This record gives sequence, C-alpha cells and structure tokens, in this order.
Amino acid sequence: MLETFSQIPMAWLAFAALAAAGCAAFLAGRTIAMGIARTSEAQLNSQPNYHGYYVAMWTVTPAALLLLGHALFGSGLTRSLLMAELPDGFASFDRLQLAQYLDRVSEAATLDRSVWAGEPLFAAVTERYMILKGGLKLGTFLLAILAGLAGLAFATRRLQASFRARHEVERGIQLALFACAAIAVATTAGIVVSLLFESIRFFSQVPLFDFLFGLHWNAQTEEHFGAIPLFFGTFIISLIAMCVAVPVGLYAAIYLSEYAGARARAWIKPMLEILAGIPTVVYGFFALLVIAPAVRTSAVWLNGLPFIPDEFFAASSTNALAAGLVMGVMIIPFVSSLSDDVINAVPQSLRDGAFAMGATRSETVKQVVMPAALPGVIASVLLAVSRAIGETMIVVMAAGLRPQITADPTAEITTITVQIVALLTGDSEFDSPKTLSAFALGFVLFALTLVFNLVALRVVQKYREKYD
Amino acid sequence: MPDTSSHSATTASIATATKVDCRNINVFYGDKQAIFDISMAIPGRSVTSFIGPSGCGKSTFLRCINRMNDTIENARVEGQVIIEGENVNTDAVDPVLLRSRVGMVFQKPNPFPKSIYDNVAYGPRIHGLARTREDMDAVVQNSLTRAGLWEEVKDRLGEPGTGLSGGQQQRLCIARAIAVSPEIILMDEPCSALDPIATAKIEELIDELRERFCIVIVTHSMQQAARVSQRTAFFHLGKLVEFGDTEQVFTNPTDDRTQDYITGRFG
Ligand SMILES: Nc1ncnc2c1ncn2[C@@H]1O[C@H](COP(=O)(O)OP(=O)(O)OP(=O)(O)O)[C@@H](O)[C@H]1O
Ligand SMILES: [Mg+2]
Repeated sequence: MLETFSQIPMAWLAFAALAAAGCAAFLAGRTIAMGIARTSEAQLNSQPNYHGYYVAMWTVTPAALLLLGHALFGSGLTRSLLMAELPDGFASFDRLQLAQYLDRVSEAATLDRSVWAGEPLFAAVTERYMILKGGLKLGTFLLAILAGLAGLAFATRRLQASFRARHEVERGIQLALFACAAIAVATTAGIVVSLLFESIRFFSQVPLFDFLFGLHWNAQTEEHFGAIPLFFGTFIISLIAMCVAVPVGLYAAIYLSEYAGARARAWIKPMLEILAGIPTVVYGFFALLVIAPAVRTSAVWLNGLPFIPDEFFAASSTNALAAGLVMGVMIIPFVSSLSDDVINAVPQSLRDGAFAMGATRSETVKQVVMPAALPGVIASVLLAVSRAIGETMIVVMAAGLRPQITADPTAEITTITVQIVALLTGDSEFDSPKTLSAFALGFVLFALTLVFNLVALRVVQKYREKYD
Repeated sequence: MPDTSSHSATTASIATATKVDCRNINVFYGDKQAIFDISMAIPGRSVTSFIGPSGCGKSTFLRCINRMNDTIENARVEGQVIIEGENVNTDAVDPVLLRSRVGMVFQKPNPFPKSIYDNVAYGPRIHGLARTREDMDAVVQNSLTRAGLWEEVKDRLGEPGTGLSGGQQQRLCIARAIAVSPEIILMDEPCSALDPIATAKIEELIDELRERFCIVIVTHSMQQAARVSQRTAFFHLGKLVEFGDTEQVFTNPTDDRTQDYITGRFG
C-alpha cells in the first residue's frame, strides 16, 4: 500500500487541500467573530474578516511549512534512510557509483514494477525505497493535518472581542514578506559561500598566484591553470563591445531625449527595447554565421594586400572581433535606456536657461546637459561593462576556445565564461582540479561584476543627492 | 489699493520709443488656443509688467518675444513680433541669434552646474563676445557688479553657481543674462521663489537696469508691478484686457475685470 502511495503525485492535492483548509478556517474564524460581536456588549476590536484571516493563517502556515520541508528534503531523507540499510555488497561502491545507483533506483521507483523484474537485488532495493518514500510521505501528510488542526484550535481559542486580530494579521504579513526577502538574500549568500568554498578547495590544489598570474591555460588535457589569457580575452572582447555600445548607445539616448519628437520617440524606444529582448543565443548564431565569416574574409583580404605581411592577421573562423561587435550591439539598449533616464532627469530649467542664452541644441547638450548627466552616464556604462564581462552565449558561439594573449582581433580568443562552460560540459569528476577551476573562475567573475556594480551604484547615489 | 511709488509716477509719463511691437499674436498649443489676437507696443528703457490670473497666458506671451515657444514641441505662434522695425517671428530670423538680443530670467533660479565665473561667461563664450581672457574677466566683473552680486562672490568665482543661496542664484542668472548685453530682458516671475529681502534686492536691480534695457516682467504681486513698472498689461483668459501706464491701471482701470482683479475679487 505504501508502495502505491509513493507513486501518487501529491503536490496538487496538497495544494488544493491547503487552499480548502484556508478557506474553511477563514469562514470559521469570521463566523466565530460575528457570533462574539452579536453576544458580547463590547465592540469588536477588529473586523470579523481579520479574525478569519488570523485563523486561516494559523491553520495553513504550519501545515504548509511541513509540506514544503518534505518537498525540499524528502527525497534526500529517503536516500539517507535507504543507504543506512543497504546490504554489505555495496561497500565496494565509491561515492559516484553509489550516487548513480541511487539515481537509477529513484527513477525506477516512479515506473512500473515489470521494468526491473529481471534484477532481484535491484528490485528489492527499489521496493524498499518505495516503502520508505511512501511512509515518509504519508507520515508528513498526517503530521501536516495534525499541525493544521492544532493551529486552528490555538487560533480559534484566542478569538474574543478585545483580540487585536488586525494587528496580528499585519504581523503575519510582515513576517511573510520578510521571509521572501530573506530567501533572496540567503540564496545569494549561499551561492557566494559555495563559490568561495569550492574555490578554496581549488586553491588548495593549485596555488592562487599561479592561477591569477599564470600565462598558460590548458585545463582540458593538461593541468595548466594560469588564467591571464582568459582575463585578457574577457578584457579584449568587453573593450570591443564597449567601443560599439557606448558611443552608439549614448548618442541614441541623446537623440531620443533631446532631439527626437514625440512621434519618433514612440517608435524608436520600443525598437530599442526589442533589441534588449532578443535572446542572446540569437545574437550568438548571428555572430557565428554572419559576422565571424565576414571578419575572416576581410582579414584574408587584408593579408593579401602588398604592404601587409602575409599571415599578419590570424583570420580565424571564430574570432574576438565578431563576438565583441555583436556583444556591443546587444549592449546598446542597456547603455541607451539607462542614459536616457539619466538625461531626462536633468531639469528642463537648465535647458531653458541655455536656450534662452542663445545656445543651439548641440551646445546645450554638450555644455549643460551632459556635464549634469555625466555621473549617471558613467554609472550606466559601468553596468554595461559588468554585463559584457558576464555575457556567455555570444562568446561561447563566436569567440572560440583557444586561450591566447594577442592583440589581433581576428584571432581566436577565449573568455572566463567560455571556459566555465567548456569545463563543465562533458563527463568529469566532481572534485578534480579541472571542475574546481570553474568555481574559481566563477568567483573571479562574480567579484569583477560585483565591483563594477558597486561602483556604479555609488556614482548613481552621489548623483541623486545633487538633484533631489 | 497697492502703493505706487514715486518713480513710476514720474517716469511713466515720459514717452519712450516702442522697442517691441507685437501685432496680432495668436498662440496655439496643439489645437488649444492660449493667446487670442494680442497686439501690444512695449516701450524701450522702461519696465513693463504683465499681470493676470494663473493660466491666462502671461508666460506664453512673454516667450513669444524671444521665441522660446519654438522649443515647445506642439506650440505654434502666429503674428508679428517687431523688434526695432524687424519682424523676428519668421523663419528667416535665427532664434539662436534673437535670444542673444533678448535675455531671459526664469521663475526658478537655474544656474548651470558650472562655476560662478563660467555661468556668467557662458553667453559671451558661445557668442564670441570676448577676445581675450582680460576682456572676459571684465565682462564677468561688470555683469556681476550690475547684478549687485560682485561684492558677495568676488572671492569665490571658481565655486559652483549652484552653491549660492536662492536670491544670489537669481542675481547670478540676471548677471548671466546681461553679460551678452541684450537689448531686452524678459523676467518670468523672477522673485516668486525668493524671500522679501532677496525680492527687494532684485526689484532695486530691475529699477537700475531700466536705464539700459527694455525690461518685461511677469509677476503675481500687484505691489511689485506697481513698484517696479511704468507700464502694466492685464491679461485674462488669453486676451489682453488692459494695457497702460501703471499708475492709471492701478488707480483708474478702464475695464471692470482689471478692477476686480487688482482689488482681489478674483484671480
Ligand atoms: N507646454 C504647454 N502645452 C500645452 N499647453 C500649455 C503649455 N504651456 C502652457 N499651456 C497652456 O496655456 C495657457 C497659458 O499658460 P501660461 O503658462 O502662459 O500661463 P501663465 O499666465 O504664465 O500662468 P502662471 O501665472 O500660472 O504662470 C494655460 O491654459 C496652459 O494650460
Ligand atoms: Mg507663467
């Protein structure tokens, strides 16, 4: 019976049950409060609805927490219980083999029995797994029902005319909101900590100095973890991207906010937003299939010119220039929309003042509007840089995989993000230096973008103080 | 009745030649008409004030004179604005050049985010009025002195103009406007953001500037209009109701609406 129970998907049922219980509890609480209002002389402190919310809150929350706990930790717990019971034969398995075996078991447990009929040991283990899983599930459900009833009883007994249900509900809402904020913060912190932790494991095998200042990177076949070529590649591609995005984005923003009429703005702004909405993989294959070959062709043509030495340009079929240019186009809307906001925030009275002095539009922009908007524009550029550093898809597709330090933009080059992808795709052991180096790279990436974002935020803050 | 000080009483009668002759001005914002067929001859070397209830079109009419309405996207100005015999409200006249002849001071002080010196030097620079550094220094000092600000800022010309007090900022804006030696200065409620002492300073300044410039001032204060101006125009719902010597407008208005407005019965 438990085996069958283990196979029934319960999430929706649980959800529906919680909702129904909540409604019932609400009605109960409200009815009780209205009864109190009728019988007692004293005025109700809070509206009956708040009594209802209060009772519902106490009924649903404990049960929901239990069910949530089961959803998050149930399968892990089941596995641990099962592992404790495994026969001695499994002692020879190493961690990875065991994990794979258990994966098979938990997958089989969702299927029909006939699938594993041929392997008696596997069948036995799976049966046991199903029993454990079903038992845990049933236990949680019963416990959740009990908890709900207990909450209901507790809450209804507190209801009376002077009870400040409205206040209590407010506190409940505050707690719920805080919990959401806490989840966001905790997730971020968790990611950072795990990054840090794994990076430390990496640096216990590879010296930090060799990683940060080494000039040779080859993680796939040998174990050379000098990350400078990757930093350099990231830098070059970001630089090319910013050379495209900053002037174009900034001038577009100036055009939009200072020159364009209402009608032009109504057209162009949404167009730029569409540019921002294109999935990066689309940019990626555009870079790979259109721009990279064009760069290669031009480089070959340049190599053929008499005054340029043969093979001067690498003319690689994936190259830094293609990835950088396309990434620059992708970033244009970031620069333009942020700068547009900043430029619009410059008070109209300043422009009027300049116009009234007989300044032309471009003089006004250059001498009055831009100086006032400069800090915000710098901040938007910094945010765009951090975006460029972290961008992955385009460079994975169009920049290539070869870690090298070269000023030739037509050469194949690789970035931090590309290497992370390359390191983690394909089979590899979880704690080899190769895999761990991805965490170290991820940590560097995180630190870099964090710095850029923090500086940008500071600049924006200083700027705010000036105008509010 | 507002007090009419002695100087306006005496100078109002001195006939001065017309500086700005506005003929049949109509202004539209989109389809909405804001100014209805206003004609007005504004005399030179004197102060003319525009009064009237909020939204009656004083600012709109004022902005016709330096064509600031051109910077408003859906605004359209019809009619002739004749300055010194030349109609400036045509495409043939460059508004940028016109505005170097017609300066403007706004309701809210709007110094540029630059140093005090650069604020005043801004106009002379873009119009190429000073050849050497010494010339520029002289222009800046002269303008600040005439705006009554020199003594207060002469030791900190390099500091940002936005760091001054509101009243000082407004005088800085006046200095900025007179630095290009305009013929006409338009002021749109220049004292409405200032306290009474700063206001008194500006009024004093306006009275001095009258000797060299044609000044048009929009104000909501009847007392101010009476104190500083020689001629007063009363606007109502986009129409010019009454225009005449300040003393006459305030003591003996010909139109009932003017009478009602200056005695505070509406507006
Ligand atoms: N940019 C604009 N677009 C559309 N309508 C406008 C614009 N500026 C002013 N108006 C309209 O034109 C009319 C006159 O406005 P204006 O600003 O000239 O009045 P005002 O007499 O200066 O008022 P106040 O004393 O409040 O400054 C008003 O009805 C106003 O709503
Ligand atoms: Mg106005």
